[in-house]
Order: sequence, then C-alpha cells, then structure tokens
Amino acid sequence: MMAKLNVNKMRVNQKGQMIVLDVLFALALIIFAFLLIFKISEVEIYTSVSQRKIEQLNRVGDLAYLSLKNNTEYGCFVSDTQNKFFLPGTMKDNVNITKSSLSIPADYNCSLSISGISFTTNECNSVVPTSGDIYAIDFNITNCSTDLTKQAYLTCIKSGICPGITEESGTLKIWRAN
Amino acid sequence: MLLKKGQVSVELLIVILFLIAFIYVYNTLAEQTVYSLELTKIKEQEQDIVLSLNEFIQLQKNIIYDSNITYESRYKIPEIAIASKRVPCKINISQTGYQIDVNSDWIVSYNLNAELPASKFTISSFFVCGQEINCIKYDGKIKCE
Repeated sequence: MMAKLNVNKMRVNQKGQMIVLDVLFALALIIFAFLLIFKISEVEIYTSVSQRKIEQLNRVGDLAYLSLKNNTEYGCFVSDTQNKFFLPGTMKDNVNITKSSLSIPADYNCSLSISGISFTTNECNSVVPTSGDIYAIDFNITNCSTDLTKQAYLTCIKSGICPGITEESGTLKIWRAN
Repeated sequence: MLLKKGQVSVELLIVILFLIAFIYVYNTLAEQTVYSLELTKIKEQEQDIVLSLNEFIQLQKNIIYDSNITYESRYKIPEIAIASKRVPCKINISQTGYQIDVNSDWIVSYNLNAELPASKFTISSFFVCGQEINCIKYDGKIKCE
C-alpha cells in the first residue's frame, strides 16, 4: 500500500512538475545521518587527543621513575679490589636532581621529595597544582651514604646488618606545564 | 518530466542540481572524515613511536656512569600502519627533541628533551621507521646507530 502510494507521489503532474516529497524526506534523513556520523567522529577524535595527552604524561612519568631508580649517576655501587657493580633502586646523598637526568621534557614540571635523603640541587621542586592531570607515584628507595664494599654488601644481605644503608620513602609527581 | 512542448521543467532542473550538489558535498565531507580519522590514527602511532624511541634512548643514559660493564642493546623502531596502507616516516633527532616527518605531508615535532651528553653519547641524527637501532658501549661511551 505504501509503495503504491509512493509511486503515485512520484508521478509527474499535468504541468510537468514532480512531486518529490519522499525524495526530499529521504535526502533530509541522509543529511541528518551524515551529520550524526560526523559528530560522532569529532567526539572520537577529541577523546583520542585527550587520551594521547594522558598516555604521554603516564609514559613520561614511568620513564622518570625508571630513570630515578636505575640511574648510575645517582645510585650506589658495590666494589671489591677488581670489580664495581651498580645497585638498582638505590640513591646516594647529596646528588643533583635535574629534569634532564630524569628524562623529563622541558614542558613538564615535577616535584620530588624523599624522606631522609638530601639533595645538593633539585630541579623537581615545583608547586603541585590542585587541578589537572598529575602523574604521581609513591616509592621506596635505598639510601647509602657511600658506595659499599663487597664485604659490607654481603654482610647486609646475609645478616641484615647494614650500616649506612636505610630504606626511605618518596613521592614523585609530574604534570604538564602551561 | 517534460512539458507538452518537450521542455524540461524548472523543478526537474533544480532537483538534478540539488542532487549533484548533494553528492559533491557528501563525497567531500566523507573524504574529510576519513582523512581526519586516518590522521588521528597516524598521530597516535607517531606519538607511540616517539615515546618508545625516547624511552629507549633515555634509558641508555642510565648505564653511562657504570664503567665496568660490557653493554649492547637493540631496538626496532615501529612502523606507522593504518588499515589501508603503510605510511613511510622519517625521524630526526636533535639535542632538544624528536621530529617525525610522515610521508613528507606534514611534520610533527616532539620536544621530549633528548638532551644527551655529547662527551658520553653519540647517535645518528636520522632514522626511518622500521629501522633497527643498535647501541653499544665501549671506552666509557655509548654509540647508537
């Protein structure tokens, strides 16, 4: 019945005019459908950009954390008469903390505090903002006042007597500047 | 559709013109949408490439001050691929950042602070996606190429 009605509407009248209401309705629906798809695409692109920024922040933060805990510039070494080995997860006193050594880009700010460890200089001393995306991680790190001898290291591992070695806790926060 | 004199009505002409304009606009918008989505996917992968490359290079710095180890590491730069094609890309590395040039269409720069101590670190300034980087340590210096 409907199809028959549509056919009737498409007929040309005596003046040669087409009655194209159905066609116009169909085109209007197609336009609305396209606008809907366009809007959804726009939202997806916006979401994607936001997620990219958050992902970049997280990866910058993870890299800074890795650089902090595995950095031969900051960490302690164990040595004997012939060899010298780096101890990951350690940090000496009075080191110079720079954003570059933590692989933090110039357009990011950071805040680093570790109880019981003093820094000579600390570039990560910005005031943490109250809003916006912030990468934050709490961690434990071993503080050694000087490099260790092999004997002192073995004694510490075996007996738990570790003079000059303490476990400290700290917090690293990173956020995008601007 | 035709008048008694065989003339095409004005209304029919308008409908035909409207259809042509509609198809043209629809086609253009569809192309733009596909382009935007492809661009988004490419940018996602660009960022992933730059971030992973940055992670690899920056982590090399961690062993610079360890003078007692023999060290070698390799990393293959990912390629940019979208559903329809593979997109060639070039990467320039400077002291201040990374720059990805995708298929010469556009250049995306990332200022990820590639500061590397020149006295301890040498790296080629140009790579292409899919290339493998090999870093070795000798004489207290890391060389990546």
